[in-house]
Amino acid sequence: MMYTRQRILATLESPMASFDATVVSDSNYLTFNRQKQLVRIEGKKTQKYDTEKLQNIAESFGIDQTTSEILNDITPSQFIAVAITRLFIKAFSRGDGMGLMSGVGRYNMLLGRMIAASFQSESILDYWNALCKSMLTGVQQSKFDADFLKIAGAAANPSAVMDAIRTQPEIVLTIARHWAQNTKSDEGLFAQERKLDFAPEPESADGMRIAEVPAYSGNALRHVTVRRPGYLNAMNYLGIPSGLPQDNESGILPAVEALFANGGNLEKKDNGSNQFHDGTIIKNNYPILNLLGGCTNNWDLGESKLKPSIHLICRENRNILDESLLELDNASISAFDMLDGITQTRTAHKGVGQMIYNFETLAKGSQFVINFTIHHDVNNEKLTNLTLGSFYDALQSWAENPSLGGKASEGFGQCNMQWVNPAANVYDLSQAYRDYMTSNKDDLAAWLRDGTLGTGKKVIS
Amino acid sequence: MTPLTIRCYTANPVAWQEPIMIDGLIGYAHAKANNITPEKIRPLDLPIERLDTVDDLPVYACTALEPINGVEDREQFQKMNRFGVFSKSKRGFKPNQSAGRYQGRSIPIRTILAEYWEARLIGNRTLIENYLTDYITHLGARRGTGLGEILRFEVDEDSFSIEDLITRDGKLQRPIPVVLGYETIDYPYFQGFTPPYWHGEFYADCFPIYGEVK
Repeated sequence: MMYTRQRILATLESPMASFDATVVSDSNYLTFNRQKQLVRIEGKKTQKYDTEKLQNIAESFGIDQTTSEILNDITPSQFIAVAITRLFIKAFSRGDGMGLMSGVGRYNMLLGRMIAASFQSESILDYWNALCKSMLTGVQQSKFDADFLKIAGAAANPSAVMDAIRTQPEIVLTIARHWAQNTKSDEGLFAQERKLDFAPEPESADGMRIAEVPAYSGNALRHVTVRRPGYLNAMNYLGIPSGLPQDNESGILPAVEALFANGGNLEKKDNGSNQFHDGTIIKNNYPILNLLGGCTNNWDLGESKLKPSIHLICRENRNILDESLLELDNASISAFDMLDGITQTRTAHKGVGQMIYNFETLAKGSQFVINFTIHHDVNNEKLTNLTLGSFYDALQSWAENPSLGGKASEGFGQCNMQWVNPAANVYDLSQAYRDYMTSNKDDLAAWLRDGTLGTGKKVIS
Repeated sequence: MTPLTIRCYTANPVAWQEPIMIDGLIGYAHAKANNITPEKIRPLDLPIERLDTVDDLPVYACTALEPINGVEDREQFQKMNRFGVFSKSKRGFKPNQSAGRYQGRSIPIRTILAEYWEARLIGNRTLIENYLTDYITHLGARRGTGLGEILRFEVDEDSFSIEDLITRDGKLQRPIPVVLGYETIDYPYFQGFTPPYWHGEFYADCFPIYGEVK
């Protein structure tokens, strides 16, 4: 193998927060980051529906002409999916709504939570429970109880209902919303004279479905575990003093600091004729840059040797976890059951008082498997060892007080880390890196100050 | 040389900007195995059947990795801008963190999540299996953030002709230099057709991949 793989098992000792940057929400509820994931679903034997019960649901809810025509084209399981969604809208989307079922983004919120709840549930009862819990609605008014029980009792194929919600959530929600809104004043419009004629129920098959599963990004992991501690350690070994910019006359160039702190940005794209040669010199001089990459003024240092990944150990991720991890208890728990909600307050501006806001966290006890893959430099054992040394040096610093995710200063994301396959020579490698940095600190620090990085010409300014 | 179907299973989405040619991946592994560094790039002699040769550059008999049952998504990365701790002062210099070089950024990344990725080629099974297993751990762009993490490759013998690797359902399965024919309804692009695909000196006018053949 031309790479080293380091595996770590991290167990949360306090709730973890990692907010979803793609969700632009005007609500005061911040959701945990999610990533699309393929989840294997096992097919179940199809049971026959009692069409009398379905008809009874339709009649008691009342259906307008348009909805009734659409309902004739769907399967009984899809009908149950639509009916339970319609009931949820009727029960909780009233006036200002309840829980997360309020505001302009409530249907988008509902859509995501419907899919999540369908992966958690194997029956209509489970589904209702999961959906109410994740939408923070509490329990419905008693006048909706009979309708709910009617739907739950009619669902002969709950797994097919969950599949309808997972695979066609937009269609289910659209029909349900139309049905809910068009029977507000027309209850009983659809009467006994029209009988629903459903499409045949297909056999349920094994297959992959897509779920948006809570996930921590590899980009954030890299920053927290390697880049930040590696950058601070490097500056420490080179004797570069920290301080406010205006006080720090012996500091390095801002663009050089950016190279270590976040990879930097190109000023203008210009592939210099010697970029590969110069890049190799820079990476030999500063092994942490070989590990993480970055860019000078005009060109990129090339492929970073480190490839991090992190996976939540949960039921939804079973098809990507190793067999050894499948034995862990967490591997049979749904990721959505690991989510919790936290409410905090902060002082708003004068005279307004306190502002309440909520956010999702992963519960204490949730586990992640972290894989760091470090590619070797072919025919350059010295650089490979120094690069591995810079990696282990940074990781050891992070491991002194390991945390993942945001709000670490408030105690969130504290974790216990366990080395699954520690390399035999971790301490030798990291010590060799420290020795290299400290014994060459004068040259290495001077090149950071003049922007040459050891190439003999100014490459960053 | 044997007709082979290669399936690649990934643990997470792949940052996808353009089709990932399988000979590009095998070329990467071949270069690593033979210590061919970017400073001394030369045409690569891969264990893959050649369709033809254009200006002494090989056109290999292979397709791109295609996402099977794929769905498009977006990742949002934050480029944090927390520095200024170790920086030297400059009279009047204050990094502008709202625009330009020192701006913190939220970067959208287009990704594809697929059940698996599939490519076909005619080549040496043993060598190709070894190359893929020993050197290729991630697919696509942004590998440094863990996207495109490969769980495993499956390489199976198949039965197809070399012509099947050029067109399928009337569409090109790889970029083909204009001089080789296979004119498509799309205009030719000036692009790479042999690994390393990014190397500008190997570019030529090509009919693009997935272009409809006239």
